[in-house]
Amino acid sequence: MKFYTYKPDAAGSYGESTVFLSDEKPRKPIRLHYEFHLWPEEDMQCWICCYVGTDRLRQALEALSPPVSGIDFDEVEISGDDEEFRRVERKGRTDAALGKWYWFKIDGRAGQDDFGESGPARDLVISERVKELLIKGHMIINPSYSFSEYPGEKQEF
Amino acid sequence: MLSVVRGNNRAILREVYKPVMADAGDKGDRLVPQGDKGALQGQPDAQAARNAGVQDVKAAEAVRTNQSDGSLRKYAGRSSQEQSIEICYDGKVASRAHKATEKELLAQAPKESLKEQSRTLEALETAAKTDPVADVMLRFRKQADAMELGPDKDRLTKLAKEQAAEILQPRQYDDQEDCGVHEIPRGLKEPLAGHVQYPEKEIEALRRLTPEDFRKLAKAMEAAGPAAEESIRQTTQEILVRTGESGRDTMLAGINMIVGLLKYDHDLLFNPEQARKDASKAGEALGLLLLAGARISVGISMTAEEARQSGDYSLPLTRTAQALNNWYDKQTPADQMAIASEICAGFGISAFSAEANKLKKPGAFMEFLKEGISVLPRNPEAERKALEALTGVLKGREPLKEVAGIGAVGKAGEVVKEVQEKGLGDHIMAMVKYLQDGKKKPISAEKAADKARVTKKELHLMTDEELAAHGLERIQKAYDLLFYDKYPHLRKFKSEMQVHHALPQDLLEEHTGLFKAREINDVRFLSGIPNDARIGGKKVHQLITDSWIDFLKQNTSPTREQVMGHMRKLDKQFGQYFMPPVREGER
Repeated sequence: MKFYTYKPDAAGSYGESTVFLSDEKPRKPIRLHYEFHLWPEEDMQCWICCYVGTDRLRQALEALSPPVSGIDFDEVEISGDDEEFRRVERKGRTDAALGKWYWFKIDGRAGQDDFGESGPARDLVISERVKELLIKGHMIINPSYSFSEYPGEKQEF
Repeated sequence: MLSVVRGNNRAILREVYKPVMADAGDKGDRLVPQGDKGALQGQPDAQAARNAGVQDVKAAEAVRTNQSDGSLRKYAGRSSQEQSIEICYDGKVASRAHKATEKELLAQAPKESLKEQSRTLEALETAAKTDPVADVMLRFRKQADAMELGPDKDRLTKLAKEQAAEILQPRQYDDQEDCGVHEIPRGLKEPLAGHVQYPEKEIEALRRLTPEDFRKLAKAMEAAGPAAEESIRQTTQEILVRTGESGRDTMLAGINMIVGLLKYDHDLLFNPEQARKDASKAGEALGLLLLAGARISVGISMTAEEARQSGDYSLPLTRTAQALNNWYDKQTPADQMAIASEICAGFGISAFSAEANKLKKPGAFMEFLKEGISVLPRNPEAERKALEALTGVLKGREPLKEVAGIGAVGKAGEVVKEVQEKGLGDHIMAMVKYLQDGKKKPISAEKAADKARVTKKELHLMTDEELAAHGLERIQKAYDLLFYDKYPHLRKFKSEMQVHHALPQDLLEEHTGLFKAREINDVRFLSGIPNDARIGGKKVHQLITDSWIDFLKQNTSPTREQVMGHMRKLDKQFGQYFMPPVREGER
């Protein structure tokens, strides 16, 4: 099976209610509050090493057979910021209009599971079937910006 | 009308507030020219009168029928004296027989001035039947009269009266033709003294430039910096070769004017500060260009990126024309009428005044000007008057300065309005923002005061160093206010673009201490990104944010230089989409 490096959009960042395990960089949240700065246009979003996804993406992934691997779903608090999001992006819409989102916790091995992280930058690596699901479900805007073929882990001699 | 009557010789002094004209207008009294006075002084009778002795004077007094020592008392009862001095005020008379002071007569002024106004209106109505310009004045006057009481009504009524007077005044001269010798004040023989000079050289040059010349000059302006200068130099040389050495100075004057105006048009979008500085010259040049009959494109204004992609700024003065239309559309109906009337009065031609109705359509102002100019008689006098009217609007009202954004200074901006509503002191305090180390969002002054364990008042008096000791930082204003204060012409796009931090606010949390909050929020590092700016379907703003994620993931402990380097890389890649645009290395 082919694997791809996937770079989701970052339409937001950590909100004030996020709780971190420690201050060590990159910070690892134990409670996630994702605050949007731009109105999301794709079904999966990120900030540094955290990922969130829409309910419909979660359901689509859970419907995969064999079952999707390398990912867990958890609750996430979402909101829009009170700066440009409120002034420009919201256009009178409430947070509810953002829909239901989940924290996508990645814990798989890159190149083996449907979701995994690779290298020091912890690039997100997904399987071909997940990539197809995202494209066919119109969950991304332009595949050429989102995916590149994953060459596999570099072997160290 | 106040008049003085001396005995039976009812010489009427016309409007007392126009003494010179009144004297000139009298049918009974005639001004004796200075030269004639000198001639009289040399006559034998005059010499005899000058040399008369006391006896001669007494003899002359004795035969006078209206002799007086300066007091009328000893002649009381003489009926011939009853009407020796009368003050008439529009049919009412104060005299020895009918006692009334001048004050009492003038007390009726408000009521009487209505009559006067009524007469002016009647005169305008009469004139409007044959003179379309008077027709425009009449409609203007009626609109002013119909307004609610207040300063606007006063201002427009005054303007309407002045303009009506200008229209009607020549007829008063005509009426005087049967009253013998009279002098028109010298000033009126030089109508433009102290006003607009007629720049014949520039107009001549503009007329000699061909549409191809205009196109080439506009094309030359597309390039930036030295390339544009070289291109304009070459185009200028070509024009001078074609038109010949004899008209060199004339042609250069015209070319300079065109290039200046094209530059203003370009700066309106890309360098509004400079456009503001050049607005006055641009207004003058635009007036001349219009008079010269040069074509001006009126298209849809566009963003810098759209302009770049379509190369539209090669079309001459698209933005200037559009901006002028927008400026006119935003004026109050009363001001619109005043502007139209100013121009109509200056153009003074029938076909043009009929166009005034078209001005009710949005975006019609430039068409109105162009149509007016197209039917303007081609003679220096008509052009001079038209230029004066155009200059009155384009320079006097400074629309070009206003559209360059800085005219907003004269209007109450949002911040000023807030100040007015909240009170200055509280407002300034409210505008100051406090940030905690390691946080990207401001906290309230109360929270900051708690953290510093001081009162709010003491907090506001603390120095930056004292605040830093408590892990606090102060910035003077919310970043969006800073941005729109610097670029007020972009306020109208507020709902259509985001204010973007070139240095991500999240740096304050992800890499605390690397940058100060005041650096992140420095207006130099703020740019507007239009919401609809997209590349490959993706929002430009989103692409920039995504790029920062990559950078921050790759650089877990970045240096300031690395961060600045990445910012400059993004400026180079996406700066053309920013409002205002940012070039590589500009910050």
